Amino acid sequence: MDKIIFTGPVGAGKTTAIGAISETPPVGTDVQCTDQYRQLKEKTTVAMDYSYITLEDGTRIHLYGTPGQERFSFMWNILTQGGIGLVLLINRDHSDPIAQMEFYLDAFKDFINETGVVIGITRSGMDNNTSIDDFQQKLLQRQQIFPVFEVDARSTDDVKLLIHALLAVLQV
Amino acid sequence: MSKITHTLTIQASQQPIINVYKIYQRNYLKKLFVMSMEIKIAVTTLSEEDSKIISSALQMLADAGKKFTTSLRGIIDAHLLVIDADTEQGDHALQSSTAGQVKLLLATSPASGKNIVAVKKPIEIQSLKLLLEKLFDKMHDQLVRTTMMQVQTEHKVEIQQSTSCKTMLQVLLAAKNNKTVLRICSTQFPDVFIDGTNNSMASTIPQTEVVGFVKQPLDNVVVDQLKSSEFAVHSNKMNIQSLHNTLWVAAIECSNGQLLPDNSLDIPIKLRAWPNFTRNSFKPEYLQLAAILAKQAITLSQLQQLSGVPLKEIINFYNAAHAVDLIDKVEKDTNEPAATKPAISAQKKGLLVKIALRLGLGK
Repeated sequence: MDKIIFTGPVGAGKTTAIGAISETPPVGTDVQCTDQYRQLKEKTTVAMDYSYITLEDGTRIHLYGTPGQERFSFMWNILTQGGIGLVLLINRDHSDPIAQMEFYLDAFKDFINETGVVIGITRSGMDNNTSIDDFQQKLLQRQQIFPVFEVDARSTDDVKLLIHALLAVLQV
Repeated sequence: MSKITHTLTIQASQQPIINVYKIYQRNYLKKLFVMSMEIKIAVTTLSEEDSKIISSALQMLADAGKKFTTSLRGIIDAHLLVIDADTEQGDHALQSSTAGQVKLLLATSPASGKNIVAVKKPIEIQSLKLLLEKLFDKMHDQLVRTTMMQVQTEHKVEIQQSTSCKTMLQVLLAAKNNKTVLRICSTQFPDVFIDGTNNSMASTIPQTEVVGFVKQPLDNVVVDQLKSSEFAVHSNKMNIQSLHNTLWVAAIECSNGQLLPDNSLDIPIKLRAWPNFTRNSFKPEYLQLAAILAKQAITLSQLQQLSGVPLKEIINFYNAAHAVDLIDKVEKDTNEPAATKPAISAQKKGLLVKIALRLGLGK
Protein backbone atom coordinates (compact mmCIF):
# COMPACT_ATOMS: atom_id res chain seq x y z
CA MET A 1 0.00 0.00 0.00
CA ASP A 2 1.59 3.26 -1.15
CA LYS A 3 0.84 6.10 1.19
CA ILE A 4 1.94 9.58 2.16
CA ILE A 5 1.59 10.44 5.82
CA PHE A 6 0.55 13.85 7.08
CA THR A 7 1.40 14.52 10.70
CA GLY A 8 1.73 17.39 13.11
CA PRO A 9 0.13 18.79 16.22
CA VAL A 10 -3.54 19.55 16.75
CA GLY A 11 -4.75 22.41 14.60
CA ALA A 12 -1.78 22.41 12.22
CA GLY A 13 -4.00 21.78 9.19
CA LYS A 14 -3.45 18.09 8.37
CA THR A 15 -7.06 17.34 7.50
CA THR A 16 -7.31 20.56 5.52
CA ALA A 17 -4.11 19.85 3.59
CA ILE A 18 -5.23 16.36 2.62
CA GLY A 19 -8.53 17.78 1.48
CA ALA A 20 -6.72 20.34 -0.66
CA ILE A 21 -5.19 17.72 -2.96
CA SER A 22 -7.29 14.58 -2.61
CA GLU A 23 -9.96 13.44 -5.03
CA THR A 24 -12.59 13.11 -2.37
CA PRO A 25 -13.14 14.89 0.91
CA PRO A 26 -11.13 13.15 3.62
CA VAL A 27 -12.91 10.53 5.66
CA GLY A 28 -12.35 11.60 9.20
CA THR A 29 -12.59 10.24 12.68
CA ASP A 30 -13.25 13.56 14.32
CA VAL A 31 -15.07 13.74 17.62
CA GLN A 32 -15.93 16.57 19.94
CA CYS A 33 -12.91 17.90 21.78
CA THR A 34 -13.33 17.53 25.51
CA ASP A 35 -9.81 18.03 26.82
CA GLN A 36 -7.51 21.05 26.93
CA TYR A 37 -7.59 21.28 23.14
CA ARG A 38 -11.28 22.19 23.09
CA GLN A 39 -10.35 25.86 23.24
CA LEU A 40 -8.18 25.41 20.19
CA LYS A 41 -10.58 23.33 18.12
CA GLU A 42 -14.13 22.13 18.33
CA LYS A 43 -13.28 18.68 17.01
CA THR A 44 -10.16 16.51 16.94
CA THR A 45 -9.04 13.41 15.01
CA VAL A 46 -8.89 10.31 17.15
CA ALA A 47 -7.71 7.70 14.67
CA MET A 48 -6.83 9.03 11.23
CA ASP A 49 -7.95 11.06 8.27
CA TYR A 50 -8.01 9.27 5.00
CA SER A 51 -8.31 10.12 1.35
CA TYR A 52 -6.47 9.26 -1.82
CA ILE A 53 -5.36 10.26 -5.28
CA THR A 54 -5.50 7.92 -8.26
CA LEU A 55 -2.65 7.72 -10.73
CA GLU A 56 -3.08 7.28 -14.46
CA ASP A 57 -2.49 3.56 -14.29
CA GLY A 58 -5.15 3.19 -11.60
CA THR A 59 -2.74 2.94 -8.67
CA ARG A 60 -4.09 4.59 -5.57
CA ILE A 61 -1.81 6.72 -3.42
CA HIS A 62 -3.33 6.79 0.02
CA LEU A 63 -3.15 9.97 2.06
CA TYR A 64 -3.26 9.46 5.79
CA GLY A 65 -3.48 12.12 8.43
CA THR A 66 -2.36 11.07 11.89
CA PRO A 67 -4.17 12.19 14.99
CA GLY A 68 -2.44 15.24 16.43
CA GLN A 69 -2.82 14.54 20.10
CA GLU A 70 0.07 12.73 21.69
CA ARG A 71 -2.19 10.30 23.52
CA PHE A 72 -3.06 8.81 20.15
CA SER A 73 0.60 8.43 19.18
CA PHE A 74 0.29 4.64 19.15
CA MET A 75 -1.43 5.19 15.80
CA TRP A 76 1.62 6.90 14.33
CA ASN A 77 3.75 3.78 13.91
CA ILE A 78 0.82 1.82 12.57
CA LEU A 79 0.04 4.45 9.97
CA THR A 80 3.62 4.89 8.73
CA GLN A 81 4.08 1.24 7.85
CA GLY A 82 4.60 1.07 4.09
CA GLY A 83 4.63 4.82 3.78
CA ILE A 84 6.47 6.66 0.99
CA GLY A 85 7.28 9.80 3.00
CA LEU A 86 6.17 12.26 5.64
CA VAL A 87 4.58 15.70 5.48
CA LEU A 88 4.99 17.44 8.83
CA LEU A 89 2.76 20.45 9.39
CA ILE A 90 3.51 22.84 12.23
CA ASN A 91 1.22 25.61 13.40
CA ARG A 92 3.36 28.72 13.78
CA ASP A 93 0.76 30.25 16.03
CA HIS A 94 1.61 27.80 18.80
CA SER A 95 3.51 29.06 21.83
CA ASP A 96 6.60 26.99 20.93
CA PRO A 97 6.35 25.75 17.35
CA ILE A 98 10.04 24.89 17.14
CA ALA A 99 9.78 22.53 20.10
CA GLN A 100 6.81 20.93 18.38
CA MET A 101 8.80 20.48 15.19
CA GLU A 102 11.59 18.80 17.16
CA PHE A 103 9.15 16.54 18.93
CA TYR A 104 7.65 15.21 15.72
CA LEU A 105 11.02 14.87 13.98
CA ASP A 106 12.16 12.73 16.91
CA ALA A 107 8.92 10.75 17.08
CA PHE A 108 9.16 9.85 13.38
CA LYS A 109 12.94 9.62 13.26
CA ASP A 110 13.15 6.06 11.96
CA PHE A 111 10.52 6.61 9.30
CA ILE A 112 12.23 9.83 8.17
CA ASN A 113 15.60 8.09 7.95
CA GLU A 114 14.12 5.40 5.74
CA THR A 115 12.13 7.76 3.55
CA GLY A 116 12.07 11.53 3.84
CA VAL A 117 10.19 14.50 5.26
CA VAL A 118 9.04 17.95 4.22
CA ILE A 119 7.94 20.54 6.78
CA GLY A 120 5.10 22.98 6.18
CA ILE A 121 4.64 25.93 8.51
CA THR A 122 1.00 26.94 8.62
CA ARG A 123 -0.76 30.07 9.88
CA SER A 124 2.07 32.18 8.62
CA GLY A 125 -0.16 35.17 8.01
CA MET A 126 -0.49 35.77 11.71
CA ASP A 127 1.72 38.16 13.61
CA ASN A 128 4.16 35.98 15.45
CA ASN A 129 7.81 36.03 16.31
CA THR A 130 8.99 32.71 14.89
CA SER A 131 10.38 33.02 11.38
CA ILE A 132 11.31 30.39 8.85
CA ASP A 133 14.93 31.22 9.63
CA ASP A 134 14.31 30.17 13.23
CA PHE A 135 13.09 26.75 12.10
CA GLN A 136 16.04 26.37 9.78
CA GLN A 137 18.48 27.41 12.51
CA LYS A 138 17.13 24.66 14.73
CA LEU A 139 17.45 22.12 11.92
CA LEU A 140 21.01 23.30 11.36
CA GLN A 141 21.78 22.72 15.02
CA ARG A 142 20.37 19.22 14.64
CA GLN A 143 22.48 18.82 11.47
CA GLN A 144 19.39 18.22 9.41
CA ILE A 145 18.55 19.92 6.14
CA PHE A 146 14.88 19.42 5.32
CA PRO A 147 12.59 21.47 3.11
CA VAL A 148 10.76 24.03 5.27
CA PHE A 149 8.09 26.14 3.59
CA GLU A 150 5.46 28.60 4.71
CA VAL A 151 2.19 27.13 3.49
CA ASP A 152 -1.51 27.68 3.62
CA ALA A 153 -3.03 24.27 4.22
CA ARG A 154 -6.12 25.36 2.32
CA SER A 155 -4.11 26.15 -0.78
CA THR A 156 -3.88 23.33 -3.33
CA ASP A 157 -0.77 24.90 -4.85
CA ASP A 158 1.00 25.15 -1.50
CA VAL A 159 0.22 21.55 -0.55
CA LYS A 160 1.26 20.35 -4.01
CA LEU A 161 4.56 22.16 -3.55
CA LEU A 162 5.10 20.27 -0.29
CA ILE A 163 4.48 16.97 -2.05
CA HIS A 164 6.70 17.99 -4.94
CA ALA A 165 9.54 18.80 -2.56
CA LEU A 166 9.01 15.48 -0.79
CA LEU A 167 9.22 13.66 -4.11
CA ALA A 168 12.43 15.53 -4.97
CA VAL A 169 13.95 14.50 -1.64
CA LEU A 170 12.90 10.88 -2.14
CA GLN A 171 14.38 10.73 -5.62
CA VAL A 172 17.87 11.81 -4.58
CA MET B 1 26.82 75.02 -14.39
CA SER B 2 30.04 73.00 -14.22
CA LYS B 3 30.04 69.43 -15.30
CA ILE B 4 29.31 67.10 -12.44
CA THR B 5 30.78 63.66 -12.48
CA HIS B 6 29.17 60.90 -10.54
CA THR B 7 30.77 57.57 -9.84
CA LEU B 8 29.10 54.34 -9.06
CA THR B 9 31.62 51.65 -8.27
CA ILE B 10 31.58 48.09 -7.18
CA GLN B 11 35.04 46.64 -6.88
CA ALA B 12 35.38 42.89 -7.25
CA SER B 13 37.26 41.89 -4.17
CA GLN B 14 36.78 39.92 -1.01
CA GLN B 15 34.63 42.77 0.26
CA PRO B 16 32.93 44.67 -2.50
CA ILE B 17 32.73 48.41 -1.97
CA ILE B 18 30.06 50.72 -3.32
CA ASN B 19 30.53 54.46 -3.69
CA VAL B 20 27.19 55.97 -4.52
CA TYR B 21 26.56 59.40 -6.02
CA LYS B 22 28.15 62.40 -4.43
CA ILE B 23 25.28 63.49 -2.31
CA TYR B 24 26.09 67.12 -1.81
CA GLN B 25 26.26 67.76 -5.53
CA ARG B 26 22.99 65.98 -6.13
CA ASN B 27 21.22 67.77 -3.32
CA TYR B 28 22.42 71.10 -4.68
CA LEU B 29 21.03 70.28 -8.08
CA LYS B 30 17.82 69.07 -6.54
CA LYS B 31 17.42 72.31 -4.60
CA LEU B 32 17.86 74.35 -7.76
CA PHE B 33 15.27 72.41 -9.62
CA VAL B 34 12.80 72.28 -6.76
CA MET B 35 12.89 76.05 -6.58
CA SER B 36 12.45 76.57 -10.26
CA MET B 37 9.85 73.88 -10.90
CA GLU B 38 6.30 75.07 -11.27
CA ILE B 39 3.27 73.18 -12.37
CA LYS B 40 1.69 74.57 -15.53
CA ILE B 41 -2.06 74.64 -15.59
CA ALA B 42 -4.42 75.11 -18.50
CA VAL B 43 -8.05 75.91 -17.69
CA THR B 44 -10.25 75.47 -20.71
CA THR B 45 -13.87 75.22 -21.81
CA LEU B 46 -15.33 76.08 -18.42
CA SER B 47 -18.49 78.06 -17.86
CA GLU B 48 -18.09 81.53 -16.39
CA GLU B 49 -19.31 80.37 -13.01
CA ASP B 50 -17.00 77.35 -12.89
CA SER B 51 -14.09 79.51 -14.05
CA LYS B 52 -14.62 81.83 -11.09
CA ILE B 53 -14.69 78.90 -8.65
CA ILE B 54 -11.49 77.44 -10.13
CA SER B 55 -9.78 80.84 -9.98
CA SER B 56 -10.74 81.26 -6.34
CA ALA B 57 -9.46 77.79 -5.45
CA LEU B 58 -6.17 78.47 -7.27
CA GLN B 59 -5.79 81.80 -5.53
CA MET B 60 -6.16 80.04 -2.18
CA LEU B 61 -3.40 77.65 -3.20
CA ALA B 62 -1.16 80.51 -4.32
CA ASP B 63 -1.70 82.21 -0.97
CA ALA B 64 -0.66 78.95 0.70
CA GLY B 65 2.63 79.03 -1.21
CA LYS B 66 1.94 76.50 -3.94
CA LYS B 67 3.85 77.24 -7.10
CA PHE B 68 2.09 77.03 -10.40
CA THR B 69 1.68 79.04 -13.54
CA THR B 70 -0.77 79.35 -16.37
CA SER B 71 0.40 77.60 -19.50
CA LEU B 72 1.14 80.22 -22.16
CA ARG B 73 0.65 77.69 -24.93
CA GLY B 74 -2.69 76.39 -23.78
CA ILE B 75 -3.07 72.69 -23.30
CA ILE B 76 0.01 71.87 -25.34
CA ASP B 77 2.64 72.05 -22.61
CA ALA B 78 0.44 72.13 -19.50
CA HIS B 79 1.01 69.58 -16.75
CA LEU B 80 -2.57 69.88 -15.49
CA LEU B 81 -5.67 70.48 -17.62
CA VAL B 82 -8.96 71.59 -16.10
CA ILE B 83 -11.75 70.67 -18.50
CA ASP B 84 -15.53 70.72 -18.55
CA ALA B 85 -16.20 67.17 -19.71
CA ASP B 86 -19.88 67.86 -20.42
CA THR B 87 -19.23 70.11 -23.41
CA GLU B 88 -18.22 69.29 -26.94
CA GLN B 89 -15.22 71.59 -26.67
CA GLY B 90 -14.23 69.88 -23.45
CA ASP B 91 -14.44 66.50 -25.12
CA HIS B 92 -12.26 67.81 -27.94
CA ALA B 93 -9.71 69.16 -25.46
CA LEU B 94 -9.65 65.79 -23.72
CA GLN B 95 -9.03 63.97 -27.00
CA SER B 96 -6.20 66.40 -27.80
CA SER B 97 -4.45 65.86 -24.50
CA THR B 98 -1.57 63.45 -23.98
CA ALA B 99 -1.50 60.42 -21.69
CA GLY B 100 1.14 62.03 -19.49
CA GLN B 101 -0.96 65.12 -18.72
CA VAL B 102 -3.15 65.07 -15.66
CA LYS B 103 -6.77 65.92 -16.47
CA LEU B 104 -9.13 67.34 -13.88
CA LEU B 105 -12.58 66.82 -15.36
CA LEU B 106 -15.64 68.66 -14.16
CA ALA B 107 -18.55 66.42 -15.05
CA THR B 108 -22.08 65.46 -14.09
CA SER B 109 -21.43 61.74 -14.58
CA PRO B 110 -18.49 59.62 -13.33
CA ALA B 111 -15.33 59.40 -15.40
CA SER B 112 -12.11 57.47 -14.98
CA GLY B 113 -8.89 56.68 -16.75
CA LYS B 114 -5.16 57.02 -16.43
CA ASN B 115 -4.19 60.40 -15.06
CA ILE B 116 -7.84 61.46 -14.92
CA VAL B 117 -9.42 62.93 -11.80
CA ALA B 118 -13.17 63.60 -12.01
CA VAL B 119 -15.10 66.10 -9.89
CA LYS B 120 -18.87 65.94 -9.87
CA LYS B 121 -20.71 69.15 -10.60
CA PRO B 122 -21.64 71.45 -9.04
CA ILE B 123 -18.13 72.17 -7.83
CA GLU B 124 -17.36 73.74 -4.50
CA ILE B 125 -14.36 75.95 -3.72
CA GLN B 126 -13.08 74.36 -0.51
CA SER B 127 -13.21 70.74 -1.64
CA LEU B 128 -11.73 71.75 -4.99
CA LYS B 129 -8.90 73.54 -3.23
CA LEU B 130 -8.11 70.41 -1.17
CA LEU B 131 -8.18 68.21 -4.26
CA LEU B 132 -5.91 70.55 -6.20
CA GLU B 133 -3.51 70.67 -3.26
CA LYS B 134 -3.16 66.87 -3.25
CA LEU B 135 -2.77 66.80 -7.01
CA PHE B 136 -0.09 69.48 -6.92
CA ASP B 137 1.94 67.65 -4.29
CA LYS B 138 1.86 64.41 -6.24
CA MET B 139 2.63 66.06 -9.53
CA HIS B 140 5.43 68.10 -8.01
CA ASP B 141 7.25 65.01 -6.70
CA GLN B 142 6.89 63.30 -10.05
CA LEU B 143 8.17 66.41 -11.82
CA VAL B 144 11.24 66.59 -9.59
CA ARG B 145 11.99 62.94 -10.12
CA THR B 146 11.63 63.14 -13.90
CA THR B 147 13.79 66.26 -14.12
CA MET B 148 16.53 64.75 -11.95
CA MET B 149 16.63 61.77 -14.28
CA GLN B 150 17.17 64.15 -17.18
CA VAL B 151 19.97 65.94 -15.33
CA GLN B 152 21.63 62.64 -14.56
CA THR B 153 21.59 61.66 -18.21
CA GLU B 154 22.88 65.04 -19.34
CA HIS B 155 25.75 64.97 -16.90
CA LYS B 156 26.97 61.65 -18.10
CA VAL B 157 27.44 59.25 -15.23
CA GLU B 158 30.85 57.68 -15.32
CA ILE B 159 31.00 54.20 -14.02
CA GLN B 160 34.42 53.01 -12.94
CA GLN B 161 35.27 49.35 -13.16
CA SER B 162 36.51 46.66 -11.59
CA THR B 163 32.96 45.43 -11.71
CA SER B 164 30.19 47.94 -12.31
CA CYS B 165 26.63 47.93 -11.05
CA LYS B 166 24.80 46.74 -14.12
CA THR B 167 21.76 45.19 -12.57
CA MET B 168 19.44 45.79 -9.65
CA LEU B 169 20.75 42.53 -8.21
CA GLN B 170 24.19 44.06 -7.84
CA VAL B 171 22.76 47.23 -6.27
CA LEU B 172 20.83 45.20 -3.70
CA LEU B 173 23.77 42.89 -3.00
CA ALA B 174 26.08 45.84 -2.52
CA ALA B 175 23.68 47.37 0.02
CA LYS B 176 23.51 44.07 1.89
CA ASN B 177 27.24 43.30 1.79
CA ASN B 178 28.32 46.83 2.69
CA LYS B 179 25.52 47.33 5.20
CA THR B 180 24.45 50.61 3.67
CA VAL B 181 21.06 52.30 3.60
CA LEU B 182 19.85 53.26 0.14
CA ARG B 183 16.96 54.98 -1.54
CA ILE B 184 16.28 53.70 -5.04
CA CYS B 185 14.36 56.15 -7.23
CA SER B 186 12.99 55.42 -10.66
CA THR B 187 10.38 56.93 -12.94
CA GLN B 188 8.38 53.74 -13.20
CA PHE B 189 8.14 52.74 -9.55
CA PRO B 190 7.68 54.37 -6.16
CA ASP B 191 10.82 54.94 -4.11
CA VAL B 192 12.26 51.86 -2.47
CA PHE B 193 14.34 51.98 0.70
CA ILE B 194 16.96 49.37 1.54
CA ASP B 195 18.46 48.90 4.98
CA GLY B 196 21.52 46.74 4.47
CA THR B 197 22.33 46.83 8.18
CA ASN B 198 19.46 44.49 8.99
CA ASN B 199 18.41 43.14 5.58
CA SER B 200 15.17 45.09 5.32
CA MET B 201 13.38 46.62 2.41
CA ALA B 202 10.53 49.13 2.53
CA SER B 203 8.35 49.84 -0.46
CA THR B 204 4.80 50.23 -1.71
CA ILE B 205 5.44 48.18 -4.83
CA PRO B 206 2.85 45.41 -5.15
CA GLN B 207 4.21 41.86 -5.15
CA THR B 208 3.04 41.46 -8.74
CA GLU B 209 5.39 44.25 -9.87
CA VAL B 210 8.56 43.19 -8.06
CA VAL B 211 9.85 41.39 -11.14
CA GLY B 212 9.43 44.56 -13.19
CA PHE B 213 11.22 46.55 -10.51
CA VAL B 214 14.28 44.29 -10.40
CA LYS B 215 14.50 43.95 -14.16
CA GLN B 216 14.35 47.67 -15.00
CA PRO B 217 17.48 49.11 -16.65
CA LEU B 218 19.71 51.05 -14.27
CA ASP B 219 19.68 53.97 -16.71
CA ASN B 220 16.30 54.85 -15.27
CA VAL B 221 17.41 54.51 -11.68
CA VAL B 222 18.96 56.93 -9.21
CA VAL B 223 20.46 55.57 -6.00
CA ASP B 224 20.96 57.70 -2.90
CA GLN B 225 22.90 56.67 0.15
CA LEU B 226 21.09 57.60 3.36
CA LYS B 227 21.88 57.63 7.04
CA SER B 228 20.71 54.63 9.06
CA SER B 229 18.20 56.74 10.94
CA GLU B 230 16.57 57.88 7.71
CA PHE B 231 15.30 54.41 6.88
CA ALA B 232 12.84 54.45 9.78
CA VAL B 233 11.62 57.90 8.77
CA HIS B 234 11.11 57.13 5.10
CA SER B 235 9.70 53.64 5.60
CA ASN B 236 6.90 54.82 7.83
CA LYS B 237 3.57 53.42 6.59
CA MET B 238 5.36 51.24 4.04
CA ASN B 239 5.42 47.51 3.78
CA ILE B 240 8.69 46.39 5.39
CA GLN B 241 9.90 42.94 4.50
CA SER B 242 13.08 40.94 4.39
CA LEU B 243 15.49 42.10 1.69
CA HIS B 244 16.09 38.42 0.97
CA ASN B 245 12.69 38.09 -0.70
CA THR B 246 13.59 40.67 -3.35
CA LEU B 247 17.21 39.51 -3.58
CA TRP B 248 15.95 36.05 -4.49
CA VAL B 249 13.69 37.40 -7.24
CA ALA B 250 16.44 39.72 -8.50
CA ALA B 251 18.93 36.86 -8.74
CA ILE B 252 16.52 34.60 -10.60
CA GLU B 253 15.46 37.34 -13.00
CA CYS B 254 18.73 39.28 -13.49
CA SER B 255 21.46 36.64 -13.42
CA ASN B 256 20.87 35.48 -16.97
CA GLY B 257 23.25 32.58 -16.43
CA GLN B 258 26.14 34.77 -15.23
CA LEU B 259 27.77 33.62 -12.03
CA LEU B 260 28.16 36.24 -9.30
CA PRO B 261 31.74 37.51 -8.80
CA ASP B 262 34.04 35.42 -6.59
CA ASN B 263 32.14 32.24 -7.34
CA SER B 264 33.19 29.29 -9.42
CA LEU B 265 31.69 26.34 -11.22
CA ASP B 266 34.38 24.11 -9.75
CA ILE B 267 34.30 24.78 -6.03
CA PRO B 268 32.27 22.25 -4.05
CA ILE B 269 29.22 23.80 -2.45
CA LYS B 270 26.31 22.65 -0.34
CA LEU B 271 22.98 24.09 0.68
CA ARG B 272 22.88 25.25 4.26
CA ALA B 273 19.06 25.19 4.23
CA TRP B 274 16.27 24.86 1.72
CA PRO B 275 14.92 28.04 0.15
CA ASN B 276 11.35 28.94 1.15
CA PHE B 277 9.86 28.21 -2.26
CA THR B 278 6.27 29.06 -1.43
CA ARG B 279 7.21 32.68 -0.94
CA ASN B 280 9.83 32.91 -3.66
CA SER B 281 9.58 32.53 -7.39
CA PHE B 282 10.91 29.18 -8.49
CA LYS B 283 10.93 26.59 -11.22
CA PRO B 284 10.27 22.87 -10.69
CA GLU B 285 13.89 22.00 -11.44
CA TYR B 286 14.97 24.11 -8.47
CA LEU B 287 13.45 21.51 -6.17
CA GLN B 288 15.65 18.87 -7.75
CA LEU B 289 18.73 21.08 -7.41
CA ALA B 290 17.91 21.87 -3.79
CA ALA B 291 17.39 18.20 -2.96
CA ILE B 292 20.79 17.27 -4.40
CA LEU B 293 22.68 20.17 -2.81
CA ALA B 294 21.05 19.56 0.56
CA LYS B 295 22.33 16.02 0.54
CA GLN B 296 25.93 16.41 -0.62
CA ALA B 297 28.65 18.92 -1.46
CA ILE B 298 29.40 19.00 -5.18
CA THR B 299 30.52 21.55 -7.74
CA LEU B 300 28.09 23.28 -10.05
CA SER B 301 29.65 21.45 -12.99
CA GLN B 302 28.99 18.11 -11.28
CA LEU B 303 25.49 19.25 -10.38
CA GLN B 304 24.79 19.90 -14.03
CA GLN B 305 25.97 16.42 -15.00
CA LEU B 306 24.02 14.77 -12.22
CA SER B 307 20.74 16.63 -12.65
CA GLY B 308 20.64 17.29 -16.38
CA VAL B 309 19.31 20.77 -15.62
CA PRO B 310 20.70 23.44 -18.02
CA LEU B 311 23.70 25.25 -16.57
CA LYS B 312 22.03 28.64 -16.97
CA GLU B 313 19.19 27.58 -14.64
CA ILE B 314 21.68 26.09 -12.19
CA ILE B 315 23.60 29.36 -12.08
CA ASN B 316 20.43 31.42 -11.62
CA PHE B 317 19.38 29.16 -8.75
CA TYR B 318 22.87 29.21 -7.25
CA ASN B 319 23.09 33.00 -7.40
CA ALA B 320 19.72 33.30 -5.67
CA ALA B 321 20.66 30.83 -2.93
CA HIS B 322 24.03 32.55 -2.53
CA ALA B 323 22.45 36.00 -2.34
CA VAL B 324 20.24 34.92 0.57
CA ASP B 325 23.09 33.18 2.44
CA LEU B 326 21.99 29.61 1.83
CA ILE B 327 25.24 28.35 0.33
CA ASP B 328 28.23 26.91 2.13
CA LYS B 329 31.47 26.53 0.20
CA VAL B 330 33.19 23.32 1.16
CA GLU B 331 36.96 23.52 1.49
CA LYS B 332 37.93 19.90 1.32
CA ASP B 333 38.06 17.90 -1.86
CA THR B 334 34.82 16.00 -2.40
CA ASN B 335 35.77 13.63 -5.18
CA GLU B 336 34.40 10.82 -3.08
CA PRO B 337 30.63 10.56 -3.26
CA ALA B 338 28.82 11.44 -0.09
CA ALA B 339 27.40 8.62 1.99
CA THR B 340 23.77 8.18 1.05
CA LYS B 341 20.86 5.86 1.55
CA PRO B 342 20.73 2.95 -0.88
CA ALA B 343 19.53 4.10 -4.28
CA ILE B 344 15.80 3.80 -4.77
CA SER B 345 14.56 1.08 -7.03
CA ALA B 346 13.50 1.85 -10.57
CA GLN B 347 9.99 0.80 -9.62
CA LYS B 348 9.87 3.26 -6.75
CA LYS B 349 11.31 6.00 -8.90
CA GLY B 350 8.65 5.31 -11.50
CA LEU B 351 5.96 5.59 -8.84
CA LEU B 352 7.28 8.95 -7.68
CA VAL B 353 7.29 10.25 -11.25
CA LYS B 354 3.68 9.13 -11.69
CA ILE B 355 2.64 10.87 -8.49
CA ALA B 356 4.29 14.05 -9.71
CA LEU B 357 2.49 13.80 -13.05
CA ARG B 358 -0.83 13.12 -11.36
CA LEU B 359 -0.50 16.26 -9.27
CA GLY B 360 0.64 18.28 -12.28
CA LEU B 361 4.11 18.87 -10.88
CA GLY B 362 7.20 19.42 -13.02
CA LYS B 363 7.95 17.45 -16.18
